[in-house]
Order: sequence, then structure tokens, then C-alpha cells
Amino acid sequence: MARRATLIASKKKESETQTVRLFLAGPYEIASIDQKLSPAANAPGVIGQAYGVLEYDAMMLTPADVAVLGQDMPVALKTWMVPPGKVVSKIIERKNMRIGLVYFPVLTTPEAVPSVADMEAVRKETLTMRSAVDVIIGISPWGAQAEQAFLDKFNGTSEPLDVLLGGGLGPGNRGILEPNSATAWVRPFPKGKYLSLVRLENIMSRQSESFRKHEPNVRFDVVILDEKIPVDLTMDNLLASVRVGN
Amino acid sequence: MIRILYLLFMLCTLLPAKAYADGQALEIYYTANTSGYFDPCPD
Repeated sequence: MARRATLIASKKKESETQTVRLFLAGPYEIASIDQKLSPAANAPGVIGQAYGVLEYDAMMLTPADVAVLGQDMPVALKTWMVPPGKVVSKIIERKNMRIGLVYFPVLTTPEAVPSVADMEAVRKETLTMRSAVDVIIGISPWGAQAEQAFLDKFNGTSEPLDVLLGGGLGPGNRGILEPNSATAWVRPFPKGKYLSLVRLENIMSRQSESFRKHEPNVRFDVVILDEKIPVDLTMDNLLASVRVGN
Repeated sequence: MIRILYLLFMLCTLLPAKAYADGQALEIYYTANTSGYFDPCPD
């Protein structure tokens, strides 16, 4: 997390008038998804502080993440708590670009399978939001299989999302834009040693129908948090107590 | 003739750049927890 803090801070300082950079944290960053005890449970106060320090533009704190952090989580993080079973949406604006975030409903467990009604609820929310924003990003805790099912269900129709950021059970991917699809799908790799990066060009003229098969307008990458990125000393000091405890 | 071809070539190289410059780009840096078996950077 100390290298992640450095990367986020340095990227935020870079000034490119034509590029909007967003830093998003998806589901289960803090909770475990495989029934094991989350490492964060050993020091929820410190982990909460650490996430409060990271300069994310938006997060998705599922009820499981909130349960690990406990009642003492920083106030700044409470904005990103997502209630179970409901589609939640937010609009944020950066450099006159309006970005819609649609949080998929959090199911009872990471293993639960979303219903058709859950999928339709997400789509309905995006269609309502479409005219008010320039780009729509979905954030999902459903896992790889259900996310694939969601994409398949709406492929070839008026697709609801420009980007689907996945999470939960199932493997990561570097980024997928399937044939005839307008939705870029990204699932991070586990262990937190990387940031997934998706870059969309020419947002303002982007239309879901005309955008099909324009793969060069979507670029995927993985940023590896290795020794080339120095640790942020403030974050490193904050996490020191946890390391000693280990 | 060569000049015309050269001008056409230059125009073709400029057009995509202009098209991109007309619109903003969005870069999303994303983290989340997944499970799985593939790790591009193993320990």
C-alpha cells in the first residue's frame, strides 16, 4: 500500500488537460472472499486509516468490508459504504467530464448468483443515468462468472456500461473487449501488487453504437507496484505497527 | 505529383491525432480483490 500511495499521489500531480485520471477501489479490498480471516482484521484501525490516506476518487465498501473495519472507520470512508441488495449510483465530475458510477447490488455472500432481476436493475439504473453523463462505469462484486453472464446478456443490445470493473470470486484479467461489445471489462489480479489500468480515448464523442470494434480507443495495462515505485514514507510508517505485530 | 502524395501522407498522419485531441481521455486506475490462479508477477 505504501507504493500504491506513491503512485496515486504522483499520477494525481501530473497535469494533462486532455486526460482525466480516476482512482477507484472496488469490492473486498479489505474483507476476505474465500472464508479465511482477512489480514486487515488484525489491525482494522490502521487499515482504515491507510485507506483514508490513499487518495481514491471513489471506493466500494461492501458490508463485508465495513464489518472488518468496524465502527471506528474514518468518516471519509463512510461515504463509500454500499448497502446490501441495492443498485447504488453516483455521479462525479472531473474537468467537465461527467462520470457515472453504478455499484452492482451486493449479494448475500460472494458465492451467491445474481438473479435476472439484479441484472435488469443495473441496466435500468444505467439507462436512467445515460443522458446525464459522458461515461458510465459499473463496479461489481459478483465474481467473474456472473460478470461474464451480465455482459453476455446485454451484448448486441443497447449496452449499459462503457466499463465494467469487476471483483469477487474468479480470476483477474488484463482487460477484455469482446467482439461486438462496447463494454471494456477489467478484473484486477489478487494480492494488491498491481493496479489495473484502462484508458478510454475521446470520451466526448463516444457513443456505444459507433464505438463497437474500435479497439484502439480502449487500452488496457497493468501497473506493477515493484521497487521502481518508491514507498510513501507516511504510509510506510502508518503500516509499521501492523508489520511489527506480524 | 510527389509533393501532392507527400501532402496527402502528412494529412493522413495528422488526422487521427486531431481526432484524439478533440476529445478527452479517461484513465481509470483500479484495485479490487479477486481470487484465482493466475498471477502475472509471482513472488
